[in-house]
Amino acid sequence: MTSPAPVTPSTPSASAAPLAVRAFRLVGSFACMGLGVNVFLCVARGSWSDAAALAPFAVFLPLLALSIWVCRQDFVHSFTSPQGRATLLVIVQGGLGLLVLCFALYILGYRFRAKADFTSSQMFSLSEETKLVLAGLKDLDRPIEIFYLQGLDSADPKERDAADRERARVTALLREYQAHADALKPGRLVFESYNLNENSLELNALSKRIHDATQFLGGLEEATVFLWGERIKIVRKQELNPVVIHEKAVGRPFQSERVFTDTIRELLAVNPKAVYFSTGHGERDVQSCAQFRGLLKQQTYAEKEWKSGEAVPSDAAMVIVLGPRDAFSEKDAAALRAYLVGGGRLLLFFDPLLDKIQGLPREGCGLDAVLNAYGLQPRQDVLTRRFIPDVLGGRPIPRDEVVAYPRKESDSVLLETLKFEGQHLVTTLTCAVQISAAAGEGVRPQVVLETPPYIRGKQLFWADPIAAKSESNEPGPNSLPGPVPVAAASEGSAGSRIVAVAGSNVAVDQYFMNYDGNRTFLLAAARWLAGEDELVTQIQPKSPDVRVAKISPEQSKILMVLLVLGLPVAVFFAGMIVWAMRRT
Amino acid sequence: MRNFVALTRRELLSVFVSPLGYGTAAVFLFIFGLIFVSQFAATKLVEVHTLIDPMGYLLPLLLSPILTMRLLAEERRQGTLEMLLTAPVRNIEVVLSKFAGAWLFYACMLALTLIHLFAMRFHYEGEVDWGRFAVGYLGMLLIAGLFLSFGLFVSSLFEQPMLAALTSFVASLSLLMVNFVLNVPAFLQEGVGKDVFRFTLPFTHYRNFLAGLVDTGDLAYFGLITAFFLFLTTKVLEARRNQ
Repeated sequence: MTSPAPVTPSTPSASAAPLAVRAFRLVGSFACMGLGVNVFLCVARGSWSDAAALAPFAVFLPLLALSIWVCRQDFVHSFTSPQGRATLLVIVQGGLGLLVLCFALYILGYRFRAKADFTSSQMFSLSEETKLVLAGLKDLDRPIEIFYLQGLDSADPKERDAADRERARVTALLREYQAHADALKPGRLVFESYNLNENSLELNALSKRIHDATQFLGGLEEATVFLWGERIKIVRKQELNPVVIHEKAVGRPFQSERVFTDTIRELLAVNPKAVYFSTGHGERDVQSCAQFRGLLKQQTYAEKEWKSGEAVPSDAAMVIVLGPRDAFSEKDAAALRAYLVGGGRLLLFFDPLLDKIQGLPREGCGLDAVLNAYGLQPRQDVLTRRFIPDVLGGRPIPRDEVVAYPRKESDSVLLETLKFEGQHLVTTLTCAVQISAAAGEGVRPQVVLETPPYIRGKQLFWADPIAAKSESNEPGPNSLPGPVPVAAASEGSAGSRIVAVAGSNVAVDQYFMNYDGNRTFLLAAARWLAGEDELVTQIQPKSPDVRVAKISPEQSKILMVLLVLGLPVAVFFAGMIVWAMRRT
Repeated sequence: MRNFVALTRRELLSVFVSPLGYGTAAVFLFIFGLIFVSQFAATKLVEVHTLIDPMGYLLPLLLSPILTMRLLAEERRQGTLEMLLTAPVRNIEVVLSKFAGAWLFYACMLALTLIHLFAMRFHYEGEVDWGRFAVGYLGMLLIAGLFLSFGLFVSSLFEQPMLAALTSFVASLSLLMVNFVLNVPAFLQEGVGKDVFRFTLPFTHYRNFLAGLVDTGDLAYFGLITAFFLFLTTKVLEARRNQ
């Protein structure tokens, strides 16, 4: 009777395995990978419907079964031997350690974060304007509190993702505000983010504070609430998001920094600068410029009235003359001159002389002498252009919209944002303002906005009193040919500043609201006149510069040959040479 | 330190004189070049994303198992690991030198892709955002370091290099696929769970580098996770030495 031969456990050894087995192992590796991914995706998505989309992975399924069978001894041996068991213990300990480590990292990463921005456009850094505003926080007796209130998540994954990205950007930006403020003086700016769907004591207390301040609690989803003591400002979602038309975002991608910084300035404005609107000279109704006035108010300027016959008040940060229909009296002009000589600031909108159009002035504004002293020469004629169809009479149409661009040669700070944004102004019923030769000593006048010389080929722009009155369609001897200057700025030696704009429609709601350039220019002008030079250049929306290379299809082919084939082959041959040299 | 330098030099030499090293580099450059040229020809954008966006995690994912599979598994299979462990060197020196060798080799391969960057620069007349590219390359190095440390750890667990590569590859790929799954389980979709989940993914941190942003949180993430796997590898070697 023969006893059965003892069974000796096979020792795994890849080198001893036949080539076919090793090949199976290799293929099995890929099959295992594919199946693992497929199963993982299906489980994670809670649906097996997408399994078919990953079918190429599953083609290896039969091979997988075979290779697992071949490799089973290797795998089992790795974890069942005494060494394997010790290893397994390390893995379990390590897994737990990894969880703890990740959680610690999460806490550290959010609480003690510092960053360095290496982009050329400083995309992830606060603008100088914001830093200036935040620097002012260190003198506050109580902190500014900012709360970002997240709303309900959408059921649509795409919408949810978009909302998540928006939240991440807003949160990151506000954390940057907090970090910068903390670096100057800790605790002067507090930022917290709350989910409105959660019912926490802190959120309830915040809701009560908002309700006490505004008597209203609606529309707070995705809103940012700024609190400083009893004062409150709320920035709602629509003010941050770009305009969306047909599911495509248009306009600036992200302008929250400008909104947030303006909101903080507005919140802290205790002693706002006074802006005086002149009255008594047939000026435009200020109600027609509600948006412009709102912008001034947002910039913490206090609107006041300078009545005809009175001296300009001493607290005036600037005087705004908004399209007078009647000429300034000698007394008022003298008062304005005296104010300017003392370092005053003037924003003058004057309109063309067109007696045929109701509401326009029939005489000059009476400030020519005042402006001439600062190198500015207003022309109260009308800016127009050649009318194309002669069949309609061929007359100039003063009501045509006029486009004004920043003057290329000008280095005025007023134009920096306009130029950066590529914006222009649009208005109507415009005249011209020229640089006068009779400027006083130390006065620096310059044209800042002008029309293009032509529009659509040969349609000439010109400013002409004769054309306006005679309805001629040809420039006369006194015509000012294009490019016609429509806005000029001047700076006197005593710190006086003037911005003269030829046409008050630029500030009227209809044009102010619809054209970004109007807003940008008038905001820059207001800040420059108020002496806030450092704030004239507005905060730019952060977006990456687009750099496009010039590469022809032939050059692409050359790149393909050199980089896709040449370089790898060269490296491979280098390896072969080294290997051959070592063998010999 | 002297041991570490000597061992690292030995590791680097073993890669640079082996056909496997050059073959890996050739494959790396082929994939890199193919993706780069196709993207650059299509978009013409002189951007970080054109050069290293997809390669940042695809290439370490594909190549780190190949680079690390033999580091410890092969030594263990051939029996040379016991010799190494009985030599007067510390476990941490062994692990760090093997990691440094693989990482430096990867850095050398990455350095060759500067040719691609200069090719892109050659076709652009303006100023390139060099800072952003530099930070992008730093991100590639860090994410590669993480994958390599994980591969080294897996290599320490197995005797068969192929098994080590397979496990490392599947685990890394699963991590990559998680990144693309929109519908992750509900408890990971909200609150702290979501934040923690996203924070644990290496690609979340890698994207900051692509954007040109060096964040201490991201540096800590890559540094600590890499160090953690190296520590685990050391513990595995210690267990083997004790056995």
